[in-house]
Amino acid sequence: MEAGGSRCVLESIDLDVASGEFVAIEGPSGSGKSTLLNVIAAIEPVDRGQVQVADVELSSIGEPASTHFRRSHIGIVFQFFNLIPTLTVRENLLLPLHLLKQRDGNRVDELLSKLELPDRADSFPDVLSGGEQQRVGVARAMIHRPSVILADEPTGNLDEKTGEGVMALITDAAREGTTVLMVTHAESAAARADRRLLLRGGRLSG
Amino acid sequence: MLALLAILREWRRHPWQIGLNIVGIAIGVAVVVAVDLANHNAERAYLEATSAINGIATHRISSVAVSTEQNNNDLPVRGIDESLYTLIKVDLGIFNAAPVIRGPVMSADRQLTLLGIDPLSDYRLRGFTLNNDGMETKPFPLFVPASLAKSEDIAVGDVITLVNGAHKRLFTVAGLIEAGAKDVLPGDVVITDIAAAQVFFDLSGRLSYIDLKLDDETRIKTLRETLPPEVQLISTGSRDRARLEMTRAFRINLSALALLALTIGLFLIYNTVSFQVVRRRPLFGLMRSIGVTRGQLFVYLLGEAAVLAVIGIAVGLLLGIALSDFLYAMVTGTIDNLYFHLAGGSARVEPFTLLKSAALGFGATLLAAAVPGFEARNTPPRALTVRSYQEVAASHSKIWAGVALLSILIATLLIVLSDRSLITAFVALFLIIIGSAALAPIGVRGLARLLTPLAAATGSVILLMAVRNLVGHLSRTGIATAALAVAVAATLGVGLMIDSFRTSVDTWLNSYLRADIYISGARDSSASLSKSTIDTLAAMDGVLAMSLGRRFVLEDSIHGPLNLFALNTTRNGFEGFVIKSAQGNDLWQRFSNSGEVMVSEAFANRFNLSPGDSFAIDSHNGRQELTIAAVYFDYSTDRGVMSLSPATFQRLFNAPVNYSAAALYLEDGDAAVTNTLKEIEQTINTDGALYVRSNRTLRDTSLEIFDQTFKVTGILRLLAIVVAVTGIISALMALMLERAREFATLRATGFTRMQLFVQMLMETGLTGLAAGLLAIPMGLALCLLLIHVINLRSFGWSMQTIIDPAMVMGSVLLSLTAALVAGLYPALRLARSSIAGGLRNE
Repeated sequence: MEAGGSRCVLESIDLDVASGEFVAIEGPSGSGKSTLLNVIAAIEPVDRGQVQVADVELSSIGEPASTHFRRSHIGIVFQFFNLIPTLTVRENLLLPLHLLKQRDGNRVDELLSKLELPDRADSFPDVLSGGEQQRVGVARAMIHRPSVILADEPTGNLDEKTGEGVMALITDAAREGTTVLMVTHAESAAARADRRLLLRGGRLSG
Repeated sequence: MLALLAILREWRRHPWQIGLNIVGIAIGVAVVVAVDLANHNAERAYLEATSAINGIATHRISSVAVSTEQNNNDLPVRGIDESLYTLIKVDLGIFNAAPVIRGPVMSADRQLTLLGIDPLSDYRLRGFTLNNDGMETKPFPLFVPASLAKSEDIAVGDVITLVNGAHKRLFTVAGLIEAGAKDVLPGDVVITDIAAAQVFFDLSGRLSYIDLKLDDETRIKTLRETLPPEVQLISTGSRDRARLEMTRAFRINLSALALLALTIGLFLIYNTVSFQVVRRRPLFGLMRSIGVTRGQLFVYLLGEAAVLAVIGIAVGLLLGIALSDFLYAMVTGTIDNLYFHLAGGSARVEPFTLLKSAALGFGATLLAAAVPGFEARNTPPRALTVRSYQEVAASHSKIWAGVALLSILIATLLIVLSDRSLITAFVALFLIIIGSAALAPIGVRGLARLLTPLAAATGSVILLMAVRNLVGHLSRTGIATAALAVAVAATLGVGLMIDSFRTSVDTWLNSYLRADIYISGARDSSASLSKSTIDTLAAMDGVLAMSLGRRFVLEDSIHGPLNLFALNTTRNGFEGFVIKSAQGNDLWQRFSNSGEVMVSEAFANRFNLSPGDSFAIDSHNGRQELTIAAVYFDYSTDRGVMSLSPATFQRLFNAPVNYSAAALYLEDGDAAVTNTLKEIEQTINTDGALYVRSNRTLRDTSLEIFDQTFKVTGILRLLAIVVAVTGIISALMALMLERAREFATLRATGFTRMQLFVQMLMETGLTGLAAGLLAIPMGLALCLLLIHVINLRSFGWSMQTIIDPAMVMGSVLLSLTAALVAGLYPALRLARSSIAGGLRNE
């Protein structure tokens, strides 16, 4: 697979991830880690090669199929949390379910309780601490039980202790059978993965 | 300097934003320039025309009961005796005197003014020369301005037919008029020999007026004492100024509408600069933390606004000049319809107007930038980097409520305390606009509070987000919302006023125009009907009754030009007057036989008159006191009109009325109109000199003129909406930039492009809805202020207040549509934007 348009960011990538596997991708800045996650999420197209995620061929996928693919199969955890500021914690969690036309209130309560944030359900993101926001971010990524969770530096903006809490949630998701691909610079986070890969100069090595 | 460079380079990264700001400033300035140029050019055209026609004359001798304007030859009292000229020149030894015959004529479909002069005496007063290139003298020679000859393809030797009512004659073009060094004669003035003019207008032995140049006060006094009572000596300068003053209210109203567009532009600038302050908080915070002082930051922000202002003003001036010709044509058309004949042409660019508008645009931009600049200046460095700080600042509801309350309170005081001042009324109007605009954030918050549970109940996250974003981004969209609300409110307020006005005029016309057919001597009712015409009309089969009338202008020595209407009517015709207030009974009797007069509402307001009051005017028997029997509604002229019976006219001017208009009441009413019109055309009006109209045509024409008068306001209101829409686009584009990550997250979470597009449109739609709802009370307040204060003070007319629910709902729809149109491009761009690009903003 090659991607990155005029500037080739990823080159000869050959990656096979088993269902339920937790893979950590490490590498220096600008090596193409985020681009790789974007390709897997059907956010960026590939120039050459094939990408198949959850039995969906992404190399020739267009709009709106890519959106529907993402909606059903992908959950994304962002470095800067990216909660929707005008939605409460509960509504942020409901958003992926709403897009899938599901209304599983129990699932929301279950996750809120797991996050230890039941009393924050009706709060807006701006009153939450960074750790709390990221926990909500992880919960939003997993609430609709996606096939794959893509986490882009999930602890990059958190202190070590808070980061540990967030990583525990991601690890739990992997244990429950969700495939997790995580980009990270943090050794402690990468150490939780089943497999660690290094991306350098657009090439992946095991 | 590097810090300033850092600020300015921000613009290079977002050229569309700078473009929209320039458009906002430019349209605001352009409207001010165009209206100012149109107004000033109309004033200049009038003054230049009168100056060229008057020459260096300082005074004019004319009949008391005669307008010295177009229709003076054919008024009830036909000009002045020409023996006066001999008296002045020979007996009193005033050599700088020139006799003139003046009147309107039609040549094909073009209205011209015919001046009959005596070249031997005229050269002393007027700057133009008549060049006949040795052309053989003909009995009816005509000199035409070179510009007219060129535009109408007229050559020396051509024969032209001139018509004035029943007077019709062939004139031979004897030469062209060459303009003097200073004075340019208007292109619609043609000149003939005074004797030819006397014959043409059937004024043998009479003159329209005598122009004089008088410097010596003693001589002026002697002359005044020598003149008989039916003749008056007036200063030409003061008379011309008084006539120009007639259009003042109309021109002030236009200027106010132009200022409204600039005010909305000002909101836009304020919004953008505020937004820029908010968006660049981290940059400013950084600058402040590395040592940029508060003062420096403030100066940089103003400097940035100044750069924008200069570009916007330059574009605005060019746009304004381009627009001015169009507006000038509309303004002169309206003045021509409502006040006096004004020759068209194109607007001349006046440096002072450009300078004034540029200064206004520059000042307004800096003022608009100063408020957010000051906020940024007074904000601690840390706060500049915290987003919620700005939202808190934008939500200072109590401050906004205070501003609104204070503005509305001052406005109310101004209205109550100022009795008649139009300028004060406009200041109050602007205060109400600003006060209402200050309520916008509170209104938006209230609407969001109202809609949130409804949106939550629908279960639509998109709708819920859209409603919450209304308040969530108030610091970015609040002012743009207020600007749109103001523009829509102005459209609604002026629209309701025009609708009320039109309904009042229509009701008045229905009552006033009772006859079936109207006949006048010329299109402007200035030419008299001959006795034989009147007799023939009265004797026609099927004519039940006939009213006769004559409108004329009395150049009163105390009150200036007064409109008088001599009316000979039946009791039925008299009942067409819609009486506003009267004293005592049997008005008809007192009007017809007791010498009492009736005045229109505008006349009563102008001179503060009520029924029972006395009002003195000049007459051929000296000053005469007239008792006001009643005040009636009349929308024909904002100068007001005094109606008097033929008997009263005779008592004042020692002459019978020389009627110029007749109204026929038919036995079979409307059913007989078509046949009677045909009969008049075939038997009486064979040469087409008479202007014959049915009741319906006259009414339709009147309403057409009404609609045409307000066309210009429609254009200005549209421009105000365009400025407001530009503001919304600018705010949305900037907001889109700031929320790129949020939108990218939504797309990454599974929002389709269409869902994002719909969400953005929902947000703008809600902004439009909020602005539209806010515009309703604002528009109603403006409408009431326009009807009951501004119109009354401008024109002296009161009118019914008609609130058309469809128009009110239409304004909400307009606001919604304007916002949706504004949101279309940003929403499309948003839907197409790259998810990865948005996420990279992390």
